[in-house]
Amino acid sequence: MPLDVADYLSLAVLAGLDSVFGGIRAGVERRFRSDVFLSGFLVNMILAVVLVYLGAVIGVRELYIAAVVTLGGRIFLNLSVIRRHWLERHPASGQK
Amino acid sequence: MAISTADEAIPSPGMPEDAASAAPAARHHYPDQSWVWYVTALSLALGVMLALAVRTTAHMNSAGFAYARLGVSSAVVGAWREQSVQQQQQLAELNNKLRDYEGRIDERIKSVEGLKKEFMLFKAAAGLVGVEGPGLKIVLRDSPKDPLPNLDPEQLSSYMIHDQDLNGLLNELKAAGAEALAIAGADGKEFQRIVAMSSARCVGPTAVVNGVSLSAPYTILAIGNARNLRRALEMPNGFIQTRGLDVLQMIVIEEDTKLALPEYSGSLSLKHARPTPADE
Repeated sequence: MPLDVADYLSLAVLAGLDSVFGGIRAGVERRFRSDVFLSGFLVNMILAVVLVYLGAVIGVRELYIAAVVTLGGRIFLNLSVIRRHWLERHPASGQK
Repeated sequence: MAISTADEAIPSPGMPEDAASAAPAARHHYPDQSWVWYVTALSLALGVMLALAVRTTAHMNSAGFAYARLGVSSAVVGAWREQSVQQQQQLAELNNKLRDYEGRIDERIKSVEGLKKEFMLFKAAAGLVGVEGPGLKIVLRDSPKDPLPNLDPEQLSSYMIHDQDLNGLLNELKAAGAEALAIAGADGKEFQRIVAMSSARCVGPTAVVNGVSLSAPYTILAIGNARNLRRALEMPNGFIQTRGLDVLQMIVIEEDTKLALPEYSGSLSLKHARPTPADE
């Protein structure tokens, strides 16, 4: 694997992770749409890669941080929503 | 209304989550669990990418790029690559220089060995090392014949070996091309090498060569072309005939294929002569 690709691949993985969690969240909220999910997966990934490339080109290497912060924050948000849904479906015994 | 993934991820502000989740479920009529398959498929794809990313990162770490995560752009990697190429070129140049120097050292060692050989040849020529080779073994002795009666003292003395006989013989041998000469006295074993400063002098009944007293019969070793040396001595009106050595049976000449001559054992110190500085 060429070293140049490493930066892009890492951020693409992060974008993919975000999309997958978003899809799970939409699934548990019962408003999942495959077209939205797939296009979101691809477009987010491409966008993240473009962001890193743009940063390298215009000399603002830290531009990738924007993508990392946004995607990371959304992953946590989606996870928290999924967790709540899980807890509503399987309430703890004390809350019954 | 098209909902993007990004829209899905952001909770609608001020809206109860129950309402947000209930409304779309009613609107779309997808099978309940179909989303699981999509998510699973993409998770698998994501897993492959994740594995690639992990491998690449591990590769970078092992290659010494531990700090080079996203902060390093492809431009920087390119610069490093260029630097690496330059350094490899420098390395090659330095290696070439090293080889060059090694070659020069080899040459110098060869020239030193050549000098050593030359030096040994000089020493052999000067008589400072022992030498061996084919040549003549000559014995000079006082005449075994009884002197003829009524001889005057001068004629009587020709029955005996004198220093002029020795010096004459040595000179004759040198002139004939002898490359190394040595002389021994009666014992025939303790040879004195004849060098540039050697001479034979009669002191009483003995001859002094290199400061060592020798007595007759004398044995002279001469390395050179044995036949030439012999002819030079035996030629008509040559050294032997003019001195009458053959008639008086005072000389015995033997040819030998392997004579061994010792090195000069006397002093080499020069009191007056100094080497002339070589002009270059």
